Amino acid sequence: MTTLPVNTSRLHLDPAATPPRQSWWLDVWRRFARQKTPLVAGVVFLALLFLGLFAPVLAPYDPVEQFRKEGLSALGEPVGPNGQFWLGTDGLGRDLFSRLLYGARVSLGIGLAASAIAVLIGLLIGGIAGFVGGKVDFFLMRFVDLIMSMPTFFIILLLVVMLKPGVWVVITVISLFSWTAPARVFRSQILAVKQHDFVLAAHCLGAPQRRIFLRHVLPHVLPLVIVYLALTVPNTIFAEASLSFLGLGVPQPTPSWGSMIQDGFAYYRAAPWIALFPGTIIALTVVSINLLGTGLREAMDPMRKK
Amino acid sequence: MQSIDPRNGSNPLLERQYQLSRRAFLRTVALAGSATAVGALLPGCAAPAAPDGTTSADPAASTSEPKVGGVYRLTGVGDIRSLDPPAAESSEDWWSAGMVLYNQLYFYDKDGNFYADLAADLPAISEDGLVYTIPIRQGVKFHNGRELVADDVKFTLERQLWPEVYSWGKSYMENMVGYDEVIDGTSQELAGTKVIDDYTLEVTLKTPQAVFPALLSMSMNAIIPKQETLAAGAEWGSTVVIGTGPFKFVEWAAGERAVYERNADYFKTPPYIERIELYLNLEPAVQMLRWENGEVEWLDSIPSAELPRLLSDEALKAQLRMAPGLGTNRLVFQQDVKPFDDVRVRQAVAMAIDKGAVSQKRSGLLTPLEGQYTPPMLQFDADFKSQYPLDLEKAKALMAEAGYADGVTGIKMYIGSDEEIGQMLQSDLANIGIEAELLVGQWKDWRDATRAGEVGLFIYGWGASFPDAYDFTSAWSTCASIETGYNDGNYCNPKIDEMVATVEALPLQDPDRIAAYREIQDITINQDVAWVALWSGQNVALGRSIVHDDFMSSIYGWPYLETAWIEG
Repeated sequence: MTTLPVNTSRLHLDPAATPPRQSWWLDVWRRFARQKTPLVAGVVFLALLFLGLFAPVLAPYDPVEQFRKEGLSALGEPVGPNGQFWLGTDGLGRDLFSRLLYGARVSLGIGLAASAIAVLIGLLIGGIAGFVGGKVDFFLMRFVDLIMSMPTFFIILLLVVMLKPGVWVVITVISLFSWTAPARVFRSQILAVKQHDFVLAAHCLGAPQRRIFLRHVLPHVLPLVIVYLALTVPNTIFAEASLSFLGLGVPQPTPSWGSMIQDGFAYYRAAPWIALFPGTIIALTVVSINLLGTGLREAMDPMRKK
Repeated sequence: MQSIDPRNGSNPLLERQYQLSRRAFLRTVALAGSATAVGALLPGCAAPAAPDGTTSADPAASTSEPKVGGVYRLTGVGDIRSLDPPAAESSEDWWSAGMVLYNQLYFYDKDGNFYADLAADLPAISEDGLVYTIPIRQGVKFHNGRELVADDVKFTLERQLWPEVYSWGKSYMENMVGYDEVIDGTSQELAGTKVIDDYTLEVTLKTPQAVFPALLSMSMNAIIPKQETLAAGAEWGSTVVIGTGPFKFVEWAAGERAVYERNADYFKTPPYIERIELYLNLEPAVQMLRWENGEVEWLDSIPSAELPRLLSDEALKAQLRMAPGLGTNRLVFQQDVKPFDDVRVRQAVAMAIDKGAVSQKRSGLLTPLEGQYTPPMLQFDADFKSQYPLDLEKAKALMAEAGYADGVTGIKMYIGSDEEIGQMLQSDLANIGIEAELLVGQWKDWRDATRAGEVGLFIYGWGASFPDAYDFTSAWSTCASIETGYNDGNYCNPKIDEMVATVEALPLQDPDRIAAYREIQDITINQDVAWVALWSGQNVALGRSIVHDDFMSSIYGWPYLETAWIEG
């Protein structure tokens, strides 16, 4: 085996490649905790997650139970917030608060799952394109361009109709169209990391490609993955809400925030709270995750590291 | 009891095609849709005595006198397809043809009374019940000034059957002699119609059919002028529209609006309203905003969420125009689908449906039904009771008895377009262990799957074209109607076919005919539980207190404007 001429003076180990892990995460946390807004956003998001997770314990009623007597007026109208139904009822006399809690499971669950899958696909495609390069890179990136040039939401609609709405169909279809932006970012990050001397050094030491990718390149992309995971969630939550709003989300009577807004659409004048509460919660979730994501990016960006 | 196989075609009466119209189809969807759908006026229950006590007449009305003038603006959710009577089939053009621009030989007034309109009198019927001699009113002028003659009537009856003419109601007229030849194009003339003189027409039927004059009141039989129609060619019904009606055609901007004006030469008292403007393709919410801005005199589609507000405000309530409907909704069982092949399961479902809750949800505008006929119909029996009233315990016991104690999953239920009501039924069924997936949308998209046995339950709305249950039985209760009609649940009890065949010839009011229809109702609802009668709707629209006598039509769900007038 021939050995490559290596300038040993430039050979050094990148501290981030084999970091003293504890201290890096601690470092990130310190920088994150210094930012007040993302911290609050993080707490809000965790609280929402908690409400969703413990909905069966926290919800006062079964979310699909129709209170036709107490929950509806004599003329069939939904009742407003009161002692029995804290956030009022919807058009069928169902407790809005309980539906909101259970809806969190569906909306957040689908949002998080779809984002995770999307980011994984993005990492895979972007990783291969960036790391392997050449023709593979060219074709994969043109494929990304192709997907990005499509009117995504309409194709999502079409696919969901064709495959019949359901939790997994919604998750799969949304994630299939949400990975392109992360893929591009991951690719460029990998292209940059690839140029570092420590990668070259690993090559020289005869490390196999797989090991170089997993041990030396990937750790540099990991912060970005976490950031993009956070930044993709709002989009997937929106996509789920839009699908449910159009009646193509999780089938009734299972509540999701999007379908709850749809339920309230007809009552926008008579009972505005039906759409208002899930709408507010979606807004709160999206804003908190966005702020959280931004905060994480700030905290994890190596360029900002002193 | 003689057993008749409806599908072997051996009985000429059973062989008759009850291919009901697209019109009926459209109404099917509309009815399944909402409380504000198609309906009817209760005979003997004039608008001033409508159930909620509201009337189109404002208390102030008594102080002012009818006067000529004013513009009457209507809004509709649908579009106009054509103003040629046989082709007019969405609410907007159906009403325009049936009640505004043309007249029929016979018609129903706002109180549900049958009367001779372009006919001078009720027809003389031969002893064998086959020949109808119809006297035509003299001195009636079309909008172009030409006088109506019997030849125009004969032409009207014939033309709509021509293969090149689209008509939603052809099959209603199949009992006329010569029907088949005109339908298949071998003749342009109906052998069964004969012009005796300018003011007398004779129609011969294949079999006695007491309901025949009522069929002549349907909008596709609105009388059109022969020469003018032929001369207009393809323009007929779009730019050339000539009838005898109280209003004359002015213009129709496709998808946007239609304008009609007062016919000062009307053969009855000329109308008071000067001009009608009908605005098309407007969403209910948009209609509502227009109404609130005072831009509309008649709002066709009230968003159902707005109904409680309208009903609880006296000033607004006084402006509602209402009439009980001619349509019913049923929950039909597909008899070939397990577990609904078991009568105990069907009984259990009947006992699980909380019709009262649905009625309340729709602000009381849906009337829960015990049987399958609606109050305006001759056959309606106020004393009829379903033997399966709401009783969850008994229903569960029946499910267990039928071997479904652990419940049933994977049932598909078509619910029309009203998801809210669909979810109420879904919840009712869940109470007895039936887990149903809701199918939403248009019936035409699910009908094949239903007939193929993939859909176990479906809500079926049906609006009659006149206050008689004639097509309720023949279109979906007989065995024959599995093949030729709308009996999509494949329900068959040969006894019903036999009874229908016998009562067809009897006069509409004949006690035996009415008794037979009521017995059919007892068989379908109580003995066989072929379906669960759910509710009938009210026709509801928003009018204005400055407009008087624009009564809600039972049949059309739109206003009578012949005698309406506007204050000020």
